[in-house]
Amino acid sequence: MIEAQNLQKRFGTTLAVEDVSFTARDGCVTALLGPNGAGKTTSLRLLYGLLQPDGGKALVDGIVAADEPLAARHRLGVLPDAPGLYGRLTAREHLLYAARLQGLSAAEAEAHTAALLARLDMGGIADRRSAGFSQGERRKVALARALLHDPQNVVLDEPTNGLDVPATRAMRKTVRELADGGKCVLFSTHILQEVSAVCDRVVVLARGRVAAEGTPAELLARTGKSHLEDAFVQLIGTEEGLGA
Amino acid sequence: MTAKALAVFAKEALDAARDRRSLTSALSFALFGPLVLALALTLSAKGSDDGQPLELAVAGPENAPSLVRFLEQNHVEVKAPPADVVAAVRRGDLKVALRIPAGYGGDFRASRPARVELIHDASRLGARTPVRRLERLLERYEARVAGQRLSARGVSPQIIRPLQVEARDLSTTASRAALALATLPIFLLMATFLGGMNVAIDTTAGERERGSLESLLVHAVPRRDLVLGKWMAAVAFNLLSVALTLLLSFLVLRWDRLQKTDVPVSLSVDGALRFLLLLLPLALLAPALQMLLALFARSFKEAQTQLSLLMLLPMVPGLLLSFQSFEAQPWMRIVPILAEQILMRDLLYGQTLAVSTQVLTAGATLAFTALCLGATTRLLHHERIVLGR
Repeated sequence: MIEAQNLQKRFGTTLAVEDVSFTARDGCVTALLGPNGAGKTTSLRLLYGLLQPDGGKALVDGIVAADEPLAARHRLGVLPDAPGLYGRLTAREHLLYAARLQGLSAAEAEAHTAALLARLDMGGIADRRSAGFSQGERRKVALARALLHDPQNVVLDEPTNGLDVPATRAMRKTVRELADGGKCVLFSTHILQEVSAVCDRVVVLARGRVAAEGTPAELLARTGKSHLEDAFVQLIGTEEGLGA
Repeated sequence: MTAKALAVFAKEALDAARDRRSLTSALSFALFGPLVLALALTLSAKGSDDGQPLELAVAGPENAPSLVRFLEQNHVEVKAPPADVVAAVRRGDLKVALRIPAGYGGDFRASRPARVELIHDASRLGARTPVRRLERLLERYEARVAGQRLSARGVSPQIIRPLQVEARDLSTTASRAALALATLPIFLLMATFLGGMNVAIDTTAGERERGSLESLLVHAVPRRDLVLGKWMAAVAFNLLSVALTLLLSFLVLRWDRLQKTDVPVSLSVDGALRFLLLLLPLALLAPALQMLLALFARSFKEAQTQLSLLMLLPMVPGLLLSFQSFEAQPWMRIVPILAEQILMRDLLYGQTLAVSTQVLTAGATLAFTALCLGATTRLLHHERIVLGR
């Protein structure tokens, strides 16, 4: 379970995250939806302890991320904004490295890597160097890396960004499977289709604040609209920065 | 040392080993030093004429048989001249030539100054030694003949020799080779700064440039382990470069000795180990310092430019030390790089190094290394470094 309690973060004089509170439960896919610049990435970075909050706190399974970053990160699998692969390493080597960084033994690392390569259908790229990978292949490696230590909580920053249709569908399927397996999945997106396709709950972010929180159906009911798109436009007060 | 730090080390070493840029920079410099050494040794052997006969083309030897005989008695191998002596010297076929005009005999017998022409090209560096040798021989012949003429007239030759100058050039091939060998510590010193530089940059500024720093930091791994692992990988490349420089230098010296048995210089295993022991703390410091500075850079290129300036750092004390009067002050013993260079200079001049001084210097350098690593670790917590691209 991931909890954000009145998170606040400023960069210089800009208030990137003003006041963000929400809960992402186990067995659920929670979407952090908002236009570009709403504070999604910054909120996620506060959750996985890359940034220190100026106010409020982030909890991962009850552990305060700012106080015990290592313990919190151990319970988190993170797919950041940029996949950040090493061009001279193969997909398999990326996974083995991540496994060792998370503290798995050599034998465990081998086993988990083999299992994930099979699960995400990565046999074809397992032993190729990542320099020549497509966007989809890169993101797959990054996702596999996030799931290696079988974390209870998975945080994905715009996971389908730049992916083609088959890759997007595969990513959504994986996300759904994780939640159905009892994991807590939190992902950020500015794409409405994504929300209706896989999400159980939605947290709508606008200008560094939570504009609304609930199931897609609840949000429709609250706004009195029949289409999610209309509902969101009303909730965030503008159409700017939303993608279809 | 944790398992995580070792995992970082293993990954970075593998990554760097596959990086042509890192490998060539570590290895090419290791080739460069010994190559220069080989060149210097070859030149120092060529520049010497110890005991070797001087080949000299003499035009008109029949005009001055006694002079030619004198030259031959003094290790000069008199050769027949080519058709055009001047052109041959101008082309560089001959370093020096002697022309004795037909009027020599008449002038000589009449005790008039007899003309001989010494033909050479002063702009050719290689010709200087044989020309000077020939000039000295001619002066000696002149003095001898002058003495004989004075004696024949009842005057002691002593009175025209108010001075007896004895210049004793003690330089031998061996000592000149030793001078060439003195460049070795400088190359070793540079190897400690260059060997792992690419790895140090690639694992810090390179990581920022690729945008892989964030995905690295989301793992449950302490920043300290990341820094240690990356540092160890750079150090490994550094030591590889230093060891290779040393090994190749050994081979060059061995080859040199096989070529010319009269070059008795050798790098003793003992001496080499002393240098290595001196340089080891520096080989640990250099990557730590480079990583710290490179982490401020946003790209590989930017870091490379900045670190090239850092390369000047080891050169500055070298310049300072080239002044003979330079006296090592106590505080200099704990200034990394400078302290090592003082010790190397002392070692080269054959002084025995006090163990306490060596320990003090090594300790200071290691402390500085730890400081750099600590600062790098702290820097990895800074949001601007982690996210700023």
